[in-house]
Amino acid sequence: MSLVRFSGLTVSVMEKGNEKLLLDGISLEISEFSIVSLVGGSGSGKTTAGLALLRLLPVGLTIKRGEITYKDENLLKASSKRIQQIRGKEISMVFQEPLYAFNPVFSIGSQINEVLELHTSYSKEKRKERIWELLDMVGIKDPKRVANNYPHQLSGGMRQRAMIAQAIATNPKLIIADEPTSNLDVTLQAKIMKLFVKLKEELKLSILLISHDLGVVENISDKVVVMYEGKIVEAGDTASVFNEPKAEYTQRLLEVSKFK
Amino acid sequence: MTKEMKHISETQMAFRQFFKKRVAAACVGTLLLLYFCAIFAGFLSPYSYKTEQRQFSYAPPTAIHFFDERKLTKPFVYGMKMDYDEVNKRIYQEDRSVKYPIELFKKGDKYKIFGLITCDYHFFGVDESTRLYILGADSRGRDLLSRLLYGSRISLSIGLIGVTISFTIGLLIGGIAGYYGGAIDNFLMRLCEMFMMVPGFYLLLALRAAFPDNFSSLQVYLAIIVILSFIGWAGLARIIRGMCLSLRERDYVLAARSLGLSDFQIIVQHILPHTLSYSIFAIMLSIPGYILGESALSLIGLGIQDPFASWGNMLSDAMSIVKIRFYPWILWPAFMIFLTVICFNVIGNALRDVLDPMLKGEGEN
Ligand SMILES: Nc1ncnc2c1ncn2[C@@H]1O[C@H](COP(=O)(O)OP(=O)(O)OP(=O)(O)O)[C@@H](O)[C@H]1O
Ligand SMILES: [Mg+2]
Repeated sequence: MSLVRFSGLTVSVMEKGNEKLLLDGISLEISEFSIVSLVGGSGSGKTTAGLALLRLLPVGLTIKRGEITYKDENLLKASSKRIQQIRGKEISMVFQEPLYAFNPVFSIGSQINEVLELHTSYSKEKRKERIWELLDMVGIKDPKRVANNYPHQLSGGMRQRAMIAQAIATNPKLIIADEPTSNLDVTLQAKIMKLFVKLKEELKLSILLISHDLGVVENISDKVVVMYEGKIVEAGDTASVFNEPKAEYTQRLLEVSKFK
Repeated sequence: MTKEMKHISETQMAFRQFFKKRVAAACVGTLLLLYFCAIFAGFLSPYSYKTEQRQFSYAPPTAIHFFDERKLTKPFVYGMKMDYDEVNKRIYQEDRSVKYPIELFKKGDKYKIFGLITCDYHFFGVDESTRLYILGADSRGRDLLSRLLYGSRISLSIGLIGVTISFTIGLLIGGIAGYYGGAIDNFLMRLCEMFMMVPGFYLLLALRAAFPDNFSSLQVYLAIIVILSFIGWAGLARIIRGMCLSLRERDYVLAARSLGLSDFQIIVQHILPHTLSYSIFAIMLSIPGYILGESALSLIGLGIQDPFASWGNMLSDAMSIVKIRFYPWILWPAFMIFLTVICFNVIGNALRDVLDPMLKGEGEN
C-alpha cells in the first residue's frame, strides 16, 4: 500500500528576477515497510524534496504545482495544526549533522522527552523509561548516563544513534534520513545503516533515504530514485536500476562510483 | 581536556572569574544585604515609616554612647532637649540628666511580617519617652533610618518587577520579530523605534499624565511599574531580534520544526534560551533605570505619595540647598540610590566581561 505519494511536485525560487525550478514535476511513491533511496548529484534537489514533504521548505522557495499525499491526505492543503501533528509523530527526520540538529543547551534525554511530551500522553515516569528504552534500541550501551549528557559530550556515532532514537520515539510510519552517515567514518556508516534496516523490520516503518553512497543504497533499499537537476531521470526496483540502468545519467553515476 | 571536563568547566569558570572580581563580589553582597533589609524592614527599623514627632523636626543623628564615666557599658543615649537660637532655628542638645539604654527586641509600633502576621517587636529601640534617630529625622520628626528601610522596599522591588515585565515583553517581541522576519518584523521594529524616539523622561511624564492623579498609593506603585516597563522593552527587543535573526537559521530550529513543535514553542524553548547570557547582564544594567525612574517621578511628586516612603519621595525634602546645608542627613536616600545603582552597574559589567567570551564561543557553532 502506498504511504506517501509525490505527484508532479514543482518547487521554484526567484533568483535575480528569473524563476528557477528546483524540483521540476517529480512523482514518486513510497510504499509501506519499504526503503526508498533518493540519489543524485549535489544540488539535484534531494534535500528540497525531503523538506517539501514536511512542508519545511526554507523561506523563498514556493511550491508551484503538484501534490504530496500521506495516506490519501493532501499534505499541501493540510492546516498548519494538522502538519504539526504529522511532523515528528507520523513522519520524522534524521539530519546529516546531529551535533547541530540537537540544541546544544539541553540534554539528549530532555530533547527526546520533548517529542514524547508533544505527541503522547505518557506520564513523566513512563516517558523516562521510554527514553532509556529508545536509547537502548538504537544500540547505546549506557542509556541512563547518555540521557543526561549534552550533545557535545557524545561521539559522532552516539549522537547519530541518539538522533535516530528521537526520530523513532513516537513510532512514526516514515523516517526521512538526509545523508545520515556522510559525516561518519566507514565502519560507523555500515553500523548505522544496519541499525536502520533493523528498525525498519522491528518497527514496520518506511525510510526515505537520501544518500550519495551507492554501495549502501544498493545493499539496503527496495527502490531507487535517481535525480538530476530537479528532475527524476530514473526510478525502479534496486536490482533493475543497478543492473540495467536505462538513463544515461544513471549509467554515468554507477560508473563513477565503481571506480572508487 | 576531555569533552566532559570542558563542559563542566565552562559554567564554573564563568562563576569563578566573576567572583575573582572582588569589587563585583562585594556588590553582590551589598545588594543581598539591601534586599534582606528590605524584606525585614518592619523588624529592623526602630519605628514605623509614619510615626511623627513634630517637636523633633530635623533632629540630627542621635549620639550613641558606649562609655559612662569612662567605664564601658551597654550602649545608651541621653534624652533630647530642644531650644531656639537667636534666629529662631531649632537646636537640639543632649539632656545629660536622663539615660536610656538601647534595648534589643523592643516592643514598639505594629507592623506586619510578609504582609500577614502582625507583630510589634523591633530589633532594637529605646524607651518611648525619647527618640532614637540613628540617621537623623526628617521635617516631621520621622526616623530616617526607618523610612529608608521601608522606602527600600519600593525602590528595590520596582527594579525587579519592572525588569521582569519589560524583559518578558522585550524577549517575546524580539523573538517573534526575529523568528518570523518579513512584514511582522517590520511592523514590530517600527513600533520599537516609536518608543525609542521619544526621550525617556518626557515619555515618563506623558504616560504618568494618562493615569488619574487621585490614585491610591498601591495604584501609583503599580502604575509606575507599568509605565517604566512600557518604556524599557523596546531597546531589548531590538537586540534580541537581531540575535534571533541568526539563531533561527540554526539546524536545531529546523529539527525542532520537524518534530512538530509550534512556532511559539520553538521561540520560547529553542531560540530564546540562547539569548540568556546576554539577557542576564542586560537585566543587571537596566535595573538602575527603573530605580532612577521611580525616584525621578516621586521626587517631582508624581510617584509614591507621603506618608509612604520611597527613596525618591524622601529626596523631595532635599530639593532646597538651604536644607541640605543645615540638615545634610536628609541626603541619605540619595546615597542609597547611588549605592544601589553602582552595585547593579558593576555586577552587569563584570558579567559582561565573563560572559562575552562564552557568547562569542557560541557564535562559532
Ligand atoms: N533557500 C534557498 N534559496 C535558493 N536556492 C536554494 C535554497 N535552498 C536550496 N537551493 C537550491 O536548490 C537546489 C537543490 O538543493 P538541495 O539542497 O535540495 O540539493 P541536494 O540534492 O540535497 O544536494 P546535496 O547533495 O549537496 O545535499 C540547489 O541548486 C540549491 O542551490
Ligand atoms: Mg542535501
